[in-house]
Amino acid sequence: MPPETITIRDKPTIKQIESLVSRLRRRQVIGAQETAHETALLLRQIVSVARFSSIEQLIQLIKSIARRLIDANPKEFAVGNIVRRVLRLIREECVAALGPSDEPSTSSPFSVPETPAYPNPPDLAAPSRPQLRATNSLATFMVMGNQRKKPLAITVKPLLIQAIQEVIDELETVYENVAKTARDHIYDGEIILTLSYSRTIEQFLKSAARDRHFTVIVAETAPSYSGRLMATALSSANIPTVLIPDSSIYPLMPRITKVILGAHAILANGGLFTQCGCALAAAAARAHSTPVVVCAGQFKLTPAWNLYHEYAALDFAGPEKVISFEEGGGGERGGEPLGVINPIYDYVKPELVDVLITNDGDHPPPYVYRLIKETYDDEDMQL
Amino acid sequence: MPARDTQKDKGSEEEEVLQAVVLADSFNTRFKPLTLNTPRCLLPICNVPMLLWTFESLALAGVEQIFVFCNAHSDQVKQAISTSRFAQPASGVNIVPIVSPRAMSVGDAMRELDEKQLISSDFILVAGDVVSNLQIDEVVKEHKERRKKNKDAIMTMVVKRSGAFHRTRPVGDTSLYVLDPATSECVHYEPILAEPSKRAIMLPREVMEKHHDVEVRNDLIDCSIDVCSVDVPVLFSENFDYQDLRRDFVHGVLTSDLLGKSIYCHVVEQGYAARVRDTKSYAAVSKDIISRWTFPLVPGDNLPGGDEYEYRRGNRYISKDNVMLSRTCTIGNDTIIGPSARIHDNARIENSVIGPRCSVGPGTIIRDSFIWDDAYIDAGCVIEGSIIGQAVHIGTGSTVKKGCLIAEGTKLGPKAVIGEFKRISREKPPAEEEEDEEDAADGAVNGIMDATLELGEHAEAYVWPDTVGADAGADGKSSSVARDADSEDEETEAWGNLKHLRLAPCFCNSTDLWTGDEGFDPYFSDTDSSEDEEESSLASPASGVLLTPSGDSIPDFSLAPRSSANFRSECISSLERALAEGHTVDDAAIELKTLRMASNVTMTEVRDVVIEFVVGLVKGEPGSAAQKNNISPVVERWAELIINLVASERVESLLLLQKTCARLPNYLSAFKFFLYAFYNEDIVDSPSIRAWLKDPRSREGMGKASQANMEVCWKQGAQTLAVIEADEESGEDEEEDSE
Repeated sequence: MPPETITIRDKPTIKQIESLVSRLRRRQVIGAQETAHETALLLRQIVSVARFSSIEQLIQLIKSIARRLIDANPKEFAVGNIVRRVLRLIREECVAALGPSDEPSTSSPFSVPETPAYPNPPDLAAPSRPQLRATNSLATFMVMGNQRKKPLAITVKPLLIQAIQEVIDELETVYENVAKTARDHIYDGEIILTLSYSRTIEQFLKSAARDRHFTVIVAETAPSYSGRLMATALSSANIPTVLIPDSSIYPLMPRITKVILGAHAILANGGLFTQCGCALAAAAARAHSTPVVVCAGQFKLTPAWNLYHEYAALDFAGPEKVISFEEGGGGERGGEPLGVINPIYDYVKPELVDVLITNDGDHPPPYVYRLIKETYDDEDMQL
Repeated sequence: MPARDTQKDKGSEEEEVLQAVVLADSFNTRFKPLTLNTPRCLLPICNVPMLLWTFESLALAGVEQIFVFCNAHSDQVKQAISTSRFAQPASGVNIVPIVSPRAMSVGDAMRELDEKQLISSDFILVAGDVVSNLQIDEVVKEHKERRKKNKDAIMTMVVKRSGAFHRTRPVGDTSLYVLDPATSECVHYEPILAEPSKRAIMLPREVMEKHHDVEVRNDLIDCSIDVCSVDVPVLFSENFDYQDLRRDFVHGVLTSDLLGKSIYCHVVEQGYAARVRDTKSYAAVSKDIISRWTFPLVPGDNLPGGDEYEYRRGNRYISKDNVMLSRTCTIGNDTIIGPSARIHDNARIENSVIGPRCSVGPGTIIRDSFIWDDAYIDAGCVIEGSIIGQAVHIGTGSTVKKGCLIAEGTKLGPKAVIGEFKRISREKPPAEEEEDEEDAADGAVNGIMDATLELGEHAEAYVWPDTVGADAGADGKSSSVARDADSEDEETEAWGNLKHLRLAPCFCNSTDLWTGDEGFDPYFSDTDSSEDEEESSLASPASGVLLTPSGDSIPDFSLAPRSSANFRSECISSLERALAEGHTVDDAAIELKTLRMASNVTMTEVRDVVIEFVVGLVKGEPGSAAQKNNISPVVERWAELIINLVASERVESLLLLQKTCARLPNYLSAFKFFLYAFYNEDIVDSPSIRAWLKDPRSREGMGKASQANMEVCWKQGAQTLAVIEADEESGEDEEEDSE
């Protein structure tokens, strides 16, 4: 018996969902961190107003909303990642709240074996899953029965909200946690290359600078020139910083001892979607056997692959950042208009990365699949 | 549990709800016949109705309430609004359609707005066919700040900088803005049409008095986005004759001393905004969307219609929804393939937009074209640079050349051949109306058949008259565009201007449009007689039609001799008319100036013609008293004009006078009288006469004037100078005869 689908009726929440969807569509929310934060806040709101009679219903509801958010901007992987995290926590909380003692009673006559109600049932569903679902519906039954019709929502809701709150808190402390081990990665006298602006890296370097003396070379990262922001942020923290144009990355590489990159998303094979320009830096580092270190929060772990494109993430912004509208529309007397390509993200292959530093410890890229398996439930891989 | 953004929303609500007014009607007929059954704002651009682009552009800027004024086909507009995703209650935008069947112009719509009292604060006024990704709310903020300081700042026009040759710049519909760079106040506004060309503008003197610096800018695209205060509709009500927002309202407010209102411009540096004004800009805006200038409003990201597209390298957008692409078809760069489209074997599509559910037959080639929903194009067709409307059926082996507009439901072919710039619809064009308006328009209005046109065996189609304006050429400079279902207004547009507005493959090889190659030439001969203000019998092309998009003339040297001969005859006829109709000299001077600009001839030539003309006016037997007495009234009558032209080049003018007299035996002996009359009318003074006498050229033969005759004139001149000097010395009155 598939659970009947429920919808959100609370007007402000609907408005909030629509607002996030349209802001994602319009790219008014960009960047993994901000998106993750917004998503977590929205999920907390949804859980707090949803009226559900079984966990299954709640999970369905969250998934349906998640699909809309993902469709709004498929290149912001953080949305899906946060949803997966939250779904896993919801399941865990439920099991915990209703007592692990109920766990073995899967074959109880009260539990109706359910047909999986996921819109995209994963082919590789883990064998343990039906068990857990059974537990859920059993829990529903028990709660309904034992606690005098006290709705499940009221029992578990505070726990779920608390769990989501933990995700939010984790997001807020992600920088410090990534930066925790900075002094173990950076030595005195190093010359470090970085690109673009990333708060994770800024924190990481600042934290390392407390114990170590090193120089940072920042590539300005055209056309966003976010490297300039990074350079000023670092130099104001008294870290010796040099700003270079992107074209100098390769010639300077022999002098560089370490390349530190941020990531937009860490893919299941250990490859990265990063700010445009990082693929170039990583390739240059490989040519000089310079180690490449990637700093990123765990919420960037994404169960996805970049199968068809060797270098690109296939997300392109408008040409305006590269060339002004006046000049881009065709030359004198309306000649051939310029073709302008402005990719947003690069794909960095896993072979080019030496180590991933997350708030959950350091990992080599080939190990990412394992992390993903540990972090998310298998049935949420496809939302 | 209010989260962050609800709080933010509340904050903005306390201020004011941002309102916008969309004018869904264009009040002109440039898309005819495509607009016969569909309102223009619902025509698709990149497979999404234009109106939705406008809504999304406004929603992007945080507009919460939109009033849509619709006139023609209002039921369709209403339906489109109610089915769009903006109609959902949670979309954050409240759209209110207002049907105003009476409105014939922007002015009428604004007056109605004032009547209904819908607007409570500053609002955004946009046309229903604007595509933009601007943060208009920031312009509104800027506008409000300005209003706090100065209550009379009633409007802020949003304009975008662009190169003079930018494809998105509307060639036939540009404007000249005079701005105060310090405050970006617009101090003068001048609409500029490609034809009749404008070579000079009059700047009121107060502009220079009031403002220390002014910028005269011709490089701004009018985005048709205006932030208006509540006074604007009121002003429209007060001035019931205002029709057009720019030509009447802006111009009126800026030139009026009584209103005391001011208008500002916001020059956009970042972001895109453009209006689809005509088929030419339709192509340009489509191209801008495809090359992602409107990011994030692009297919595959935030397409307002909501269809999902896959972006492929080279700006190819393929719908994710059930598209059938043959393995052997070729999809070129800058192409959109709509949902459920079917592209068959060996078809070739470049630079084009293919609408939803279209079918493109085997071996068909489509280039630079826009194929709208449900069109069916059979095998082996070639379609270039055209717009093919909804559900058009084009039979096997047909050819459609550039610039054609084929309206909804038309059937063509097989083996149809459609020449350039044809307009074809399934319904009969409303020929009678044209005849009502323009009696000269009869004959050859309907069903023009020529060698370039072959509709095919099973065609269900009518060809529209080639040019509404050209037929009415005898009328003069402009002709009324026939009334249309799309809008019913009395706007007049010169056909010459219209041709700058029509669809052209500005996609890639647009140069051929402006250099006057074979693609354009036929129209020169069609239209010249109509734009010749002076004399339609002189049907040779004034070189003024060779316009660049910015309105500068191309120095086309091969044409120069011809045009100077024309200039001469035109000039004389214009002067003759001025004489016959008793025009003031000022009017004649302006006319001459226009002619000179149009023909691109030197000032010397003008002087030559004028002096010859004036000399020719003097009748009477050579050397007779009648002739002598005629001279001074004639010169007196025309003195002002000559002074105007002669300006500082007095010696030159004397040379010309001398030459004229030397060449025409009738006037040989009269030279001295002319000289004296010139002197009397202050056209020349004694130093310039002296300079002339010293000038070696005055004793040489010039053209047809022999040296001997020149010598005769020179001697007369020397005598006259002596007399003049004597006069000056004695300080005697000029009444005394100097002979």
